[in-house]
Amino acid sequence: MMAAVTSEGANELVGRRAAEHEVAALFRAEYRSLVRLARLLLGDPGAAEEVVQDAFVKLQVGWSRLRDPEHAPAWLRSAVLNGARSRLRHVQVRRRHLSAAAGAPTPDTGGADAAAVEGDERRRMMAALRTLPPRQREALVLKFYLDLSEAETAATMGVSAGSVKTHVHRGLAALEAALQEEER
Amino acid sequence: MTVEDRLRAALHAEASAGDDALGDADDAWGAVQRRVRRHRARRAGRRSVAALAAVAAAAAAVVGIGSLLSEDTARVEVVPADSTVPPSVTPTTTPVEPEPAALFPGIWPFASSADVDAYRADPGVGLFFDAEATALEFGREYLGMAEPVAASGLKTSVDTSTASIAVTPRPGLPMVTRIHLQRFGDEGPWSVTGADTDDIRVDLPASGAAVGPTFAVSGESTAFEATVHVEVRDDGGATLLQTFVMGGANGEMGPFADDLTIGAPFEATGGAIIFTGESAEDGTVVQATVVRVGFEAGASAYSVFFHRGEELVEVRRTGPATAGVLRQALEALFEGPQPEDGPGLSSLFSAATAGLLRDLNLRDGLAVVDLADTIDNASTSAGSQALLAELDATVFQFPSVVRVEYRLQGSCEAFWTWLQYDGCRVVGRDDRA
Repeated sequence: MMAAVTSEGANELVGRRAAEHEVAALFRAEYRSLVRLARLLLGDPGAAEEVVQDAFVKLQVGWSRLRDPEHAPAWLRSAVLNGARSRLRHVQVRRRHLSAAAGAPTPDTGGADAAAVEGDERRRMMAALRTLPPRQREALVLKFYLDLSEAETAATMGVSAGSVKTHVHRGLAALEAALQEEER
Repeated sequence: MTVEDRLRAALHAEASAGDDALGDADDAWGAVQRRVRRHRARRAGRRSVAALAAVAAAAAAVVGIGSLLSEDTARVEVVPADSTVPPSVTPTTTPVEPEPAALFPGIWPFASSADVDAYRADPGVGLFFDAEATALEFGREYLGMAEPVAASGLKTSVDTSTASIAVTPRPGLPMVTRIHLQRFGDEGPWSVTGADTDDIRVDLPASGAAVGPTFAVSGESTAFEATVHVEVRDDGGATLLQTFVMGGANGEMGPFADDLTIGAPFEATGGAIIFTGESAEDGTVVQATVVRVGFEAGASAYSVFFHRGEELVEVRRTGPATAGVLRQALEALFEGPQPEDGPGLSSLFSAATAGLLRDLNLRDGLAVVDLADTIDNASTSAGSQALLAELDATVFQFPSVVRVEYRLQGSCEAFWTWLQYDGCRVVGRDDRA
């Protein structure tokens, strides 16, 4: 009885060491690019780092349940995307409550006016991106920043490849319209 | 240049533009490992408690805590002087404050009659006049489910003023969360009043209970990794606390219990405690139990620790519940012993060190206590031991503090160098001297 418990404990320790080792390697390889991804989705550097750290904590404590460690990078991307969604939801719910209380319309998230004055391509593009619905923005960032395929983007977002196609198509059309509107 | 190319270029430029602000990767890895260790420590604690019979476990815990206190501390009950109690609650003064308004039962999207009135005045597409649509939006927006749908084949009840809608987190998943709603006003909109799932049964707090800055949560659960995430959210949507409790796993219900301390000031009078189970696949919420609570506007109680001779002594204090109780305790500690605490108490803290707390942060069990300045005589061996004993005892009285990092003017290293130790260290609840 005691022996069984001891060996179980030893196995668990060995498993933990292995998990820490694997996750450390993934952390070195992926941390920076995941923080960049989260920053593009959230626009808030501090929150981006927290969301990515959350994902690594979950990965490490759940390592033994991961069916295929090769999928860990894809799992991390999904976890970061979900973490970012959850953050944005909090921000939006809070903003909606505040604006409802003040009797004011929901403020524009874009800051497009300031961007136009600066005339900076990157800022204008990012401002236009921030005015898109969340799913369209996510699809565009995954496809054009991470260069994921439609299937990979779909798996990360937890939607079908068909809806990725739709989100990308509509997102690009809306971006183009927003930029043309501004350039006129 | 096509819009695709322009977008690709902008995204890459934007992504690398922020790298300057990126924190040190080693620090980030350290933070991840601290949280992993904490997760495991709590899980191990729950497991060993679960291994004992419930009664024996409870008895052992009480004895354990009692002997811990009697070994290295002595209790002195100190009745606070009138000056420390707000005049409106002293027995000799007639209370002038009105009774607090009854807690509005709705959580989301309306948490007050004013919210309901504002919506009725301008309902947009009128989504929240439909009970099922409100429940599904709650699942998606408030809980974070991936793609909530009404559970097919399960009884959904809607009558004129209340409704209960069974929801699954995405089509085809078996987990069911029942979302309870109430209609506000004649033909008025719906607001969610709570939710429950069979896999997370919550005994404490009860629905509608008023909770203080420190309150107990308990119940039974089964979830992936045995982990039930707990969030305290106020009616403004702000998160006051995020933590987790460990119950059962793999379909077996197991008990969970914890004391939670909300380290942030209560700005709202109401909110909810949200218990969620997350997907093993992608971390989205798959089921939830949500309990409506009010935040108590009474006094908070805490202890500070000073010395009598070489003995560490606990002194009880009370204060308003409007500020974080950990902050109050540290501020009171740094003011040193007060005349009403009685004779014979000593501490390196005194009126001269009041205001020593430069910054305080409590997140995921890690308290960061930042001091504004050094104190005379604290860097001797006896002085530093006495100082650390008082700090540790005051900080670790709150169950939600698992580890503490002390800093001096923002630097952990500077704090320990001042006390003649080498390098930064984080003190754990169990590894303090």
